[in-house]
Amino acid sequence: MFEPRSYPVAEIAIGLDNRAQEFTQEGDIVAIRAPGIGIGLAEAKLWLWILIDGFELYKYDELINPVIEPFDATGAYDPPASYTKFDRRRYCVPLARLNQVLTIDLNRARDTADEYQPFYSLDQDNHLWLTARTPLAAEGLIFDKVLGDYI
Amino acid sequence: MATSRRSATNENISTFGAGGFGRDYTDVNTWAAATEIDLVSAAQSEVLELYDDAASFNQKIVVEAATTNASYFRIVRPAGVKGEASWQGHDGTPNNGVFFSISGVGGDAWRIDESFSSFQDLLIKAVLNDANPRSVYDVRGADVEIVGCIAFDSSNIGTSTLIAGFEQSEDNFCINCLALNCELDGFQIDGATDAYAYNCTAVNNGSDGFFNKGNGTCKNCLADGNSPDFSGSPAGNNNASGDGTATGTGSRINQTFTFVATGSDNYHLASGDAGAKDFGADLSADGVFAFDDDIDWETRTGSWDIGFDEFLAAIAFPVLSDRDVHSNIFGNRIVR
Repeated sequence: MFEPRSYPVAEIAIGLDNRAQEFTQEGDIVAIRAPGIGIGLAEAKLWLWILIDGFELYKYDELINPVIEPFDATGAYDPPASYTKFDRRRYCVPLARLNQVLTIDLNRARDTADEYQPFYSLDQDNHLWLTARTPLAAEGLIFDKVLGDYI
Repeated sequence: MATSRRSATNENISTFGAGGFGRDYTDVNTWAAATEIDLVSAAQSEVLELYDDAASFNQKIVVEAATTNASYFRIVRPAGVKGEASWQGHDGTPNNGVFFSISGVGGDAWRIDESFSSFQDLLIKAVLNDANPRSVYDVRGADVEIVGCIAFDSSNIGTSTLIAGFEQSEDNFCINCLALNCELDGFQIDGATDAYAYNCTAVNNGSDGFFNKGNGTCKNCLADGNSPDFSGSPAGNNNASGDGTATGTGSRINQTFTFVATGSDNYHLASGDAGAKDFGADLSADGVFAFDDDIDWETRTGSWDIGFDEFLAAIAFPVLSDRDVHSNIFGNRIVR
Protein backbone atom coordinates (compact mmCIF):
# COMPACT_ATOMS: atom_id res chain seq x y z
CA MET A 1 0.00 0.00 0.00
CA PHE A 2 1.33 3.39 -0.93
CA GLU A 3 2.17 5.52 2.05
CA PRO A 4 2.86 9.16 1.34
CA ARG A 5 6.03 10.36 3.01
CA SER A 6 7.29 13.77 3.82
CA TYR A 7 11.00 14.41 3.62
CA PRO A 8 12.92 17.11 5.41
CA VAL A 9 13.57 20.22 3.39
CA ALA A 10 17.18 21.27 2.87
CA GLU A 11 18.75 24.51 1.77
CA ILE A 12 21.59 24.29 -0.74
CA ALA A 13 24.05 26.77 -2.18
CA ILE A 14 25.23 26.29 -5.74
CA GLY A 15 28.14 27.79 -7.59
CA LEU A 16 27.92 30.48 -10.24
CA ASP A 17 30.27 31.36 -13.03
CA ASN A 18 31.44 34.48 -11.28
CA ARG A 19 35.13 33.61 -11.05
CA ALA A 20 35.11 34.00 -7.30
CA GLN A 21 36.03 30.37 -6.80
CA GLU A 22 38.67 28.55 -8.78
CA PHE A 23 37.58 25.02 -7.99
CA THR A 24 33.82 25.30 -8.33
CA GLN A 25 31.89 25.07 -11.55
CA GLU A 26 28.57 26.70 -12.20
CA GLY A 27 25.81 24.64 -10.66
CA ASP A 28 28.05 22.72 -8.26
CA ILE A 29 26.56 22.12 -4.84
CA VAL A 30 28.92 23.63 -2.27
CA ALA A 31 26.80 23.62 0.87
CA ILE A 32 23.74 21.86 2.20
CA ARG A 33 21.99 22.39 5.49
CA ALA A 34 18.68 22.62 7.26
CA PRO A 35 16.80 25.71 6.14
CA GLY A 36 18.08 28.79 7.90
CA ILE A 37 16.58 32.16 8.60
CA GLY A 38 18.94 34.01 6.32
CA ILE A 39 22.38 34.17 4.75
CA GLY A 40 25.55 36.19 5.01
CA LEU A 41 26.58 39.29 3.15
CA ALA A 42 29.10 37.47 0.96
CA GLU A 43 26.82 34.48 0.50
CA ALA A 44 24.10 36.67 -0.98
CA LYS A 45 26.44 37.70 -3.79
CA LEU A 46 28.49 34.59 -4.48
CA TRP A 47 26.00 31.74 -4.44
CA LEU A 48 22.53 30.83 -5.59
CA TRP A 49 20.36 29.43 -2.80
CA ILE A 50 17.44 27.07 -3.30
CA LEU A 51 15.30 24.74 -1.21
CA ILE A 52 15.02 21.06 -2.10
CA ASP A 53 13.35 18.00 -0.67
CA GLY A 54 13.12 14.32 -1.44
CA PHE A 55 15.83 12.74 0.71
CA GLU A 56 16.16 11.30 4.13
CA LEU A 57 18.22 13.63 6.27
CA TYR A 58 21.33 11.46 6.41
CA LYS A 59 21.40 11.16 2.61
CA TYR A 60 21.67 14.89 2.05
CA ASP A 61 25.27 14.88 3.15
CA GLU A 62 26.21 12.83 0.11
CA LEU A 63 25.37 15.76 -2.16
CA ILE A 64 28.66 17.42 -1.34
CA ASN A 65 30.68 14.27 -1.96
CA PRO A 66 33.59 14.55 -4.39
CA VAL A 67 33.76 12.80 -7.75
CA ILE A 68 36.84 10.98 -6.53
CA GLU A 69 37.99 10.47 -2.96
CA PRO A 70 41.57 11.68 -3.41
CA PHE A 71 43.04 9.38 -0.78
CA ASP A 72 45.19 6.30 -1.02
CA ALA A 73 44.54 3.05 0.82
CA THR A 74 46.27 4.35 3.94
CA GLY A 75 44.09 7.42 4.05
CA ALA A 76 46.81 9.84 2.93
CA TYR A 77 45.88 12.66 0.56
CA ASP A 78 46.92 11.29 -2.80
CA PRO A 79 44.97 12.46 -5.82
CA PRO A 80 45.23 10.02 -8.72
CA ALA A 81 46.80 11.16 -11.97
CA SER A 82 43.40 11.72 -13.51
CA TYR A 83 42.21 13.89 -10.63
CA THR A 84 41.26 17.42 -11.57
CA LYS A 85 40.41 20.33 -9.36
CA PHE A 86 36.79 19.98 -10.41
CA ASP A 87 36.53 16.37 -9.22
CA ARG A 88 35.83 17.70 -5.77
CA ARG A 89 32.16 18.20 -6.47
CA ARG A 90 30.21 15.25 -7.78
CA TYR A 91 26.72 16.70 -7.73
CA CYS A 92 25.37 19.81 -9.37
CA VAL A 93 22.16 21.55 -10.29
CA PRO A 94 22.42 22.62 -13.95
CA LEU A 95 21.12 26.15 -14.25
CA ALA A 96 19.38 25.18 -17.47
CA ARG A 97 17.32 22.78 -15.40
CA LEU A 98 16.52 25.47 -12.86
CA ASN A 99 15.48 27.74 -15.68
CA GLN A 100 12.67 25.32 -16.44
CA VAL A 101 11.24 26.09 -13.02
CA LEU A 102 11.93 29.78 -12.91
CA THR A 103 13.57 32.09 -15.40
CA ILE A 104 16.91 33.14 -13.95
CA ASP A 105 18.67 36.31 -15.00
CA LEU A 106 22.13 34.81 -15.42
CA ASN A 107 23.85 38.15 -15.73
CA ARG A 108 22.51 39.21 -12.37
CA ALA A 109 23.20 35.84 -10.79
CA ARG A 110 26.84 35.96 -11.87
CA ASP A 111 27.36 39.55 -10.79
CA THR A 112 29.29 39.42 -7.52
CA ALA A 113 27.97 42.85 -6.59
CA ASP A 114 24.33 41.82 -6.98
CA GLU A 115 22.47 40.16 -4.13
CA TYR A 116 20.22 38.35 -6.58
CA GLN A 117 18.33 35.38 -5.13
CA PRO A 118 15.44 34.48 -7.43
CA PHE A 119 14.20 31.61 -5.27
CA TYR A 120 13.83 33.76 -2.18
CA SER A 121 12.81 37.20 -1.17
CA LEU A 122 15.73 38.61 0.79
CA ASP A 123 15.58 41.49 3.24
CA GLN A 124 18.33 43.75 1.96
CA ASP A 125 18.96 45.25 5.38
CA ASN A 126 19.62 42.19 7.50
CA HIS A 127 19.82 39.43 4.88
CA LEU A 128 17.06 37.40 6.46
CA TRP A 129 14.74 35.45 4.23
CA LEU A 130 11.32 37.03 3.88
CA THR A 131 9.69 34.39 1.70
CA ALA A 132 10.82 31.37 -0.26
CA ARG A 133 9.51 29.47 -3.22
CA THR A 134 8.22 25.97 -2.76
CA PRO A 135 11.05 23.45 -2.29
CA LEU A 136 12.09 21.71 -5.47
CA ALA A 137 12.14 17.94 -5.74
CA ALA A 138 15.76 16.73 -5.70
CA GLU A 139 14.94 13.88 -8.01
CA GLY A 140 15.32 15.01 -11.59
CA LEU A 141 16.97 18.25 -10.53
CA ILE A 142 20.36 17.17 -9.21
CA PHE A 143 22.87 15.83 -11.70
CA ASP A 144 25.39 13.12 -10.78
CA LYS A 145 28.60 13.70 -12.76
CA VAL A 146 29.81 10.17 -12.10
CA LEU A 147 26.73 8.44 -13.42
CA GLY A 148 26.12 11.13 -16.02
CA ASP A 149 22.47 11.34 -15.14
CA TYR A 150 20.01 13.01 -12.86
CA ILE A 151 19.39 11.32 -9.56
CA MET B 1 56.85 34.79 23.59
CA ALA B 2 55.79 32.27 21.00
CA THR B 3 52.09 31.69 20.85
CA SER B 4 50.94 28.31 19.59
CA ARG B 5 48.33 30.10 17.47
CA ARG B 6 50.12 30.79 14.22
CA SER B 7 49.00 33.85 12.31
CA ALA B 8 49.27 34.12 8.56
CA THR B 9 50.66 36.79 6.29
CA ASN B 10 48.22 39.34 4.89
CA GLU B 11 45.12 37.89 6.50
CA ASN B 12 41.82 38.59 4.76
CA ILE B 13 39.32 38.12 7.56
CA SER B 14 35.72 37.06 6.93
CA THR B 15 33.10 36.56 9.60
CA PHE B 16 30.79 33.62 10.30
CA GLY B 17 27.67 33.40 12.42
CA ALA B 18 23.92 33.07 12.35
CA GLY B 19 21.66 34.77 9.83
CA GLY B 20 20.57 38.26 10.71
CA PHE B 21 23.77 39.25 12.52
CA GLY B 22 25.47 40.87 9.55
CA ARG B 23 28.16 38.24 9.14
CA ASP B 24 29.79 37.47 5.80
CA TYR B 25 28.96 33.76 5.96
CA THR B 26 26.36 31.60 7.68
CA ASP B 27 27.79 28.33 6.36
CA VAL B 28 31.41 27.35 6.79
CA ASN B 29 31.34 25.44 3.51
CA THR B 30 30.49 28.47 1.43
CA TRP B 31 33.53 30.22 2.92
CA ALA B 32 35.67 27.17 2.22
CA ALA B 33 34.54 27.07 -1.39
CA ALA B 34 34.94 30.82 -1.86
CA THR B 35 38.52 30.73 -0.62
CA GLU B 36 39.73 27.68 -2.54
CA ILE B 37 42.19 29.72 -4.51
CA ASP B 38 45.91 29.98 -5.12
CA LEU B 39 46.75 31.92 -1.99
CA VAL B 40 50.45 31.92 -2.75
CA SER B 41 50.03 33.66 -6.10
CA ALA B 42 47.53 36.02 -4.55
CA ALA B 43 49.96 36.71 -1.67
CA GLN B 44 46.98 36.49 0.65
CA SER B 45 45.74 34.36 3.54
CA GLU B 46 42.10 33.67 4.31
CA VAL B 47 40.72 33.64 7.84
CA LEU B 48 37.20 32.80 9.00
CA GLU B 49 36.38 34.25 12.41
CA LEU B 50 33.47 32.63 14.20
CA TYR B 51 30.81 34.38 16.25
CA ASP B 52 28.81 32.76 19.02
CA ASP B 53 25.48 33.88 17.55
CA ALA B 54 23.57 30.65 18.15
CA ALA B 55 23.44 27.90 20.74
CA SER B 56 25.16 25.63 18.23
CA PHE B 57 25.81 25.14 14.54
CA ASN B 58 25.26 21.77 12.84
CA GLN B 59 27.93 22.22 10.17
CA LYS B 60 30.95 20.23 9.07
CA ILE B 61 33.70 21.28 6.72
CA VAL B 62 36.50 20.04 4.51
CA VAL B 63 39.32 22.56 4.03
CA GLU B 64 41.25 21.45 0.99
CA ALA B 65 42.51 22.37 -2.46
CA ALA B 66 43.74 25.90 -1.83
CA THR B 67 47.37 26.45 -2.80
CA THR B 68 49.19 27.32 0.41
CA ASN B 69 52.65 27.68 1.90
CA ALA B 70 54.10 28.57 5.30
CA SER B 71 53.15 32.24 4.83
CA TYR B 72 49.83 32.08 3.01
CA PHE B 73 47.23 29.64 4.27
CA ARG B 74 43.76 29.43 5.80
CA ILE B 75 42.69 29.66 9.44
CA VAL B 76 39.36 29.05 11.16
CA ARG B 77 39.18 30.55 14.66
CA PRO B 78 36.75 32.30 16.99
CA ALA B 79 36.57 36.07 16.78
CA GLY B 80 37.94 38.28 19.51
CA VAL B 81 40.74 38.10 22.02
CA LYS B 82 40.77 35.54 24.81
CA GLY B 83 40.19 37.18 28.17
CA GLU B 84 38.33 40.14 26.70
CA ALA B 85 34.61 40.68 26.26
CA SER B 86 35.02 40.29 22.53
CA TRP B 87 36.07 36.62 22.82
CA GLN B 88 33.70 34.22 21.06
CA GLY B 89 35.50 30.97 21.80
CA HIS B 90 35.49 28.41 24.60
CA ASP B 91 36.97 28.80 28.08
CA GLY B 92 38.94 25.57 28.06
CA THR B 93 35.80 23.55 28.77
CA PRO B 94 32.96 22.36 26.51
CA ASN B 95 30.55 24.68 28.27
CA ASN B 96 31.02 28.02 26.55
CA GLY B 97 31.79 29.64 23.24
CA VAL B 98 30.93 29.13 19.61
CA PHE B 99 29.95 25.48 19.35
CA PHE B 100 29.57 23.07 16.45
CA SER B 101 27.24 20.24 17.40
CA ILE B 102 27.10 17.94 14.40
CA SER B 103 24.53 15.20 14.15
CA GLY B 104 22.84 12.90 11.69
CA VAL B 105 25.36 13.24 8.88
CA GLY B 106 28.24 11.19 7.54
CA GLY B 107 31.87 11.92 6.82
CA ASP B 108 34.50 13.34 9.11
CA ALA B 109 33.29 16.30 11.10
CA TRP B 110 36.02 18.89 10.47
CA ARG B 111 38.81 17.99 8.11
CA ILE B 112 41.91 19.71 6.72
CA ASP B 113 43.54 18.17 3.66
CA GLU B 114 45.67 21.07 2.49
CA SER B 115 49.06 21.91 3.97
CA PHE B 116 49.77 24.64 6.56
CA SER B 117 46.17 25.60 7.32
CA SER B 118 44.89 25.70 10.87
CA PHE B 119 41.90 25.20 13.17
CA GLN B 120 42.21 27.20 16.37
CA ASP B 121 40.19 27.13 19.60
CA LEU B 122 37.23 25.23 18.17
CA LEU B 123 34.63 23.33 20.19
CA ILE B 124 33.05 20.35 18.43
CA LYS B 125 30.75 17.52 19.36
CA ALA B 126 29.98 15.10 16.54
CA VAL B 127 27.41 12.31 16.49
CA LEU B 128 27.97 11.04 12.99
CA ASN B 129 26.01 8.48 10.98
CA ASP B 130 28.44 6.76 8.67
CA ALA B 131 29.33 3.28 7.43
CA ASN B 132 33.04 4.12 7.52
CA PRO B 133 35.33 4.98 10.42
CA ARG B 134 35.38 8.74 10.96
CA SER B 135 36.90 11.36 13.23
CA VAL B 136 35.93 14.67 14.78
CA TYR B 137 39.09 16.45 13.61
CA ASP B 138 40.62 14.65 10.63
CA VAL B 139 44.02 16.23 10.10
CA ARG B 140 45.40 15.05 6.76
CA GLY B 141 47.43 18.00 5.53
CA ALA B 142 51.16 18.35 6.17
CA ASP B 143 52.26 21.06 8.59
CA VAL B 144 48.68 21.67 9.65
CA GLU B 145 48.19 23.06 13.15
CA ILE B 146 45.25 22.17 15.36
CA VAL B 147 45.57 24.40 18.42
CA GLY B 148 43.41 24.82 21.48
CA CYS B 149 40.62 22.67 20.07
CA ILE B 150 38.19 20.44 21.98
CA ALA B 151 36.41 17.26 20.82
CA PHE B 152 33.93 15.80 23.27
CA ASP B 153 30.98 13.41 23.67
CA SER B 154 31.40 12.21 20.10
CA SER B 155 30.48 8.97 18.36
CA ASN B 156 29.42 7.34 15.11
CA ILE B 157 25.95 5.87 15.32
CA GLY B 158 26.23 4.35 11.85
CA THR B 159 27.51 0.87 11.12
CA SER B 160 31.11 1.90 11.81
CA THR B 161 32.81 3.84 14.61
CA LEU B 162 34.24 7.21 15.48
CA ILE B 163 37.87 6.24 15.59
CA ALA B 164 39.30 9.39 17.15
CA GLY B 165 38.67 12.85 18.45
CA PHE B 166 41.83 13.92 16.64
CA GLU B 167 43.17 11.80 13.77
CA GLN B 168 46.57 12.88 12.46
CA SER B 169 47.45 11.05 9.28
CA GLU B 170 50.17 13.37 7.99
CA ASP B 171 53.11 15.25 9.46
CA ASN B 172 51.24 17.83 11.48
CA PHE B 173 50.59 19.19 14.95
CA CYS B 174 47.99 19.05 17.69
CA ILE B 175 48.85 21.55 20.43
CA ASN B 176 46.97 22.31 23.66
CA CYS B 177 43.95 20.23 22.63
CA LEU B 178 41.43 18.20 24.64
CA ALA B 179 39.73 14.93 23.64
CA LEU B 180 37.00 14.07 26.10
CA ASN B 181 34.62 11.12 26.04
CA CYS B 182 35.02 10.17 22.39
CA GLU B 183 33.85 6.76 21.18
CA LEU B 184 37.30 5.24 20.59
CA ASP B 185 40.67 7.03 20.64
CA GLY B 186 41.29 10.52 21.90
CA PHE B 187 44.25 11.09 19.60
CA GLN B 188 45.32 8.76 16.81
CA ILE B 189 48.73 9.89 15.65
CA ASP B 190 50.46 8.90 12.46
CA GLY B 191 52.33 10.61 9.67
CA ALA B 192 54.62 10.09 6.72
CA THR B 193 57.62 10.69 8.96
CA ASP B 194 56.34 12.22 12.17
CA ALA B 195 53.22 13.78 13.67
CA TYR B 196 53.17 15.59 16.97
CA ALA B 197 50.86 15.99 19.95
CA TYR B 198 52.20 18.55 22.41
CA ASN B 199 50.55 19.44 25.71
CA CYS B 200 47.32 17.68 24.83
CA THR B 201 44.89 15.98 27.22
CA ALA B 202 42.81 12.85 26.63
CA VAL B 203 40.23 11.93 29.26
CA ASN B 204 37.63 9.18 29.45
CA ASN B 205 37.73 8.14 25.81
CA GLY B 206 36.40 4.69 24.93
CA SER B 207 39.71 3.32 23.75
CA ASP B 208 43.25 4.71 23.65
CA GLY B 209 43.99 8.17 24.96
CA PHE B 210 46.96 8.57 22.62
CA PHE B 211 47.46 5.87 19.99
CA ASN B 212 50.71 6.03 18.09
CA LYS B 213 49.78 4.49 14.78
CA GLY B 214 53.29 4.62 13.42
CA ASN B 215 55.14 7.91 13.51
CA GLY B 216 53.72 9.75 16.47
CA THR B 217 55.46 11.89 19.07
CA CYS B 218 53.86 12.95 22.32
CA LYS B 219 55.37 15.57 24.61
CA ASN B 220 53.75 16.84 27.81
CA CYS B 221 50.58 14.88 27.06
CA LEU B 222 48.18 13.87 29.82
CA ALA B 223 45.88 10.85 29.60
CA ASP B 224 43.49 9.55 32.22
CA GLY B 225 40.56 7.18 32.22
CA ASN B 226 41.19 5.79 28.75
CA SER B 227 41.73 2.13 27.82
CA PRO B 228 44.71 2.34 27.76
CA ASP B 229 45.99 5.88 28.22
CA PHE B 230 48.91 5.48 25.79
CA SER B 231 49.58 2.78 23.21
CA GLY B 232 51.94 2.17 20.35
CA SER B 233 54.91 3.56 22.28
CA PRO B 234 54.96 7.10 20.89
CA ALA B 235 58.27 8.92 20.86
CA GLY B 236 58.61 11.95 23.07
CA ASN B 237 58.88 12.79 26.71
CA ASN B 238 57.25 14.10 29.88
CA ASN B 239 53.90 12.43 29.39
CA ALA B 240 51.64 11.35 32.23
CA SER B 241 49.03 8.63 32.57
CA GLY B 242 46.57 7.39 35.11
CA ASP B 243 47.54 3.86 34.19
CA GLY B 244 50.97 2.39 33.59
CA THR B 245 51.32 3.19 29.89
CA ALA B 246 52.95 6.65 29.54
CA THR B 247 56.30 6.36 27.76
CA GLY B 248 59.34 8.53 27.14
CA THR B 249 61.95 10.27 29.22
CA GLY B 250 60.52 12.04 32.23
CA SER B 251 57.11 10.43 31.83
CA ARG B 252 54.95 9.57 34.81
CA ILE B 253 52.74 6.51 35.18
CA ASN B 254 49.97 5.48 37.56
CA GLN B 255 49.30 9.07 38.52
CA THR B 256 46.27 10.53 40.23
CA PHE B 257 45.29 13.83 38.69
CA THR B 258 43.25 16.52 40.38
CA PHE B 259 41.11 18.57 38.04
CA VAL B 260 39.05 21.65 38.81
CA ALA B 261 35.57 20.15 38.32
CA THR B 262 35.17 16.91 36.38
CA GLY B 263 31.41 16.98 36.93
CA SER B 264 31.18 20.01 34.69
CA ASP B 265 33.86 18.78 32.27
CA ASN B 266 36.41 21.25 33.60
CA TYR B 267 39.74 19.44 33.24
CA HIS B 268 41.98 22.35 34.10
CA LEU B 269 44.50 21.35 36.74
CA ALA B 270 43.54 22.15 40.31
CA SER B 271 46.02 23.87 42.58
CA GLY B 272 46.56 20.69 44.58
CA ASP B 273 47.32 18.48 41.59
CA ALA B 274 50.34 16.28 42.13
CA GLY B 275 50.17 14.24 38.95
CA ALA B 276 50.87 16.75 36.17
CA LYS B 277 51.54 20.18 37.65
CA ASP B 278 55.16 21.28 37.17
CA PHE B 279 56.24 17.97 35.61
CA GLY B 280 56.30 19.04 31.96
CA ALA B 281 59.23 19.93 29.75
CA ASP B 282 59.78 23.50 28.59
CA LEU B 283 58.94 23.48 24.87
CA SER B 284 59.52 27.19 24.28
CA ALA B 285 62.66 26.32 22.34
CA ASP B 286 61.45 23.04 20.88
CA GLY B 287 63.16 22.28 17.59
CA VAL B 288 59.95 21.23 15.86
CA PHE B 289 57.22 23.42 17.33
CA ALA B 290 58.22 26.06 19.85
CA PHE B 291 55.48 27.74 21.89
CA ASP B 292 54.84 28.91 25.42
CA ASP B 293 51.09 29.23 25.99
CA ASP B 294 48.21 26.93 26.93
CA ILE B 295 44.62 26.33 25.86
CA ASP B 296 43.57 29.54 27.63
CA TRP B 297 46.21 31.64 25.83
CA GLU B 298 48.00 31.98 29.15
CA THR B 299 51.77 32.03 29.08
CA ARG B 300 53.40 28.97 30.59
CA THR B 301 55.83 30.02 33.26
CA GLY B 302 58.26 28.30 35.57
CA SER B 303 58.08 24.52 35.40
CA TRP B 304 55.59 23.64 32.72
CA ASP B 305 52.53 21.54 33.50
CA ILE B 306 51.60 18.42 31.58
CA GLY B 307 48.37 18.62 29.57
CA PHE B 308 46.48 21.42 27.86
CA ASP B 309 46.36 23.69 30.89
CA GLU B 310 49.05 25.61 32.73
CA PHE B 311 47.93 26.16 36.30
CA LEU B 312 48.32 29.79 37.27
CA ALA B 313 47.68 30.94 40.80
CA ALA B 314 45.09 33.68 41.03
CA ILE B 315 46.61 37.12 41.29
CA ALA B 316 45.79 38.77 44.60
CA PHE B 317 45.03 42.46 44.25
CA PRO B 318 45.40 44.68 47.33
CA VAL B 319 42.15 45.81 48.84
CA LEU B 320 42.01 49.57 48.89
CA SER B 321 40.05 51.60 51.35
CA ASP B 322 38.00 54.62 50.29
CA ARG B 323 40.70 56.72 51.86
CA ASP B 324 43.39 55.05 49.70
CA VAL B 325 41.37 55.63 46.57
CA HIS B 326 40.62 59.22 47.49
CA SER B 327 44.27 59.82 48.22
CA ASN B 328 45.36 58.34 44.89
CA ILE B 329 42.82 60.26 42.88
CA PHE B 330 43.08 63.62 44.51
CA GLY B 331 46.38 63.46 46.34
CA ASN B 332 48.49 63.24 43.22
CA ARG B 333 46.96 66.22 41.50
CA ILE B 334 49.40 68.14 39.41
CA VAL B 335 49.60 71.73 40.55
CA ARG B 336 51.04 74.24 38.20
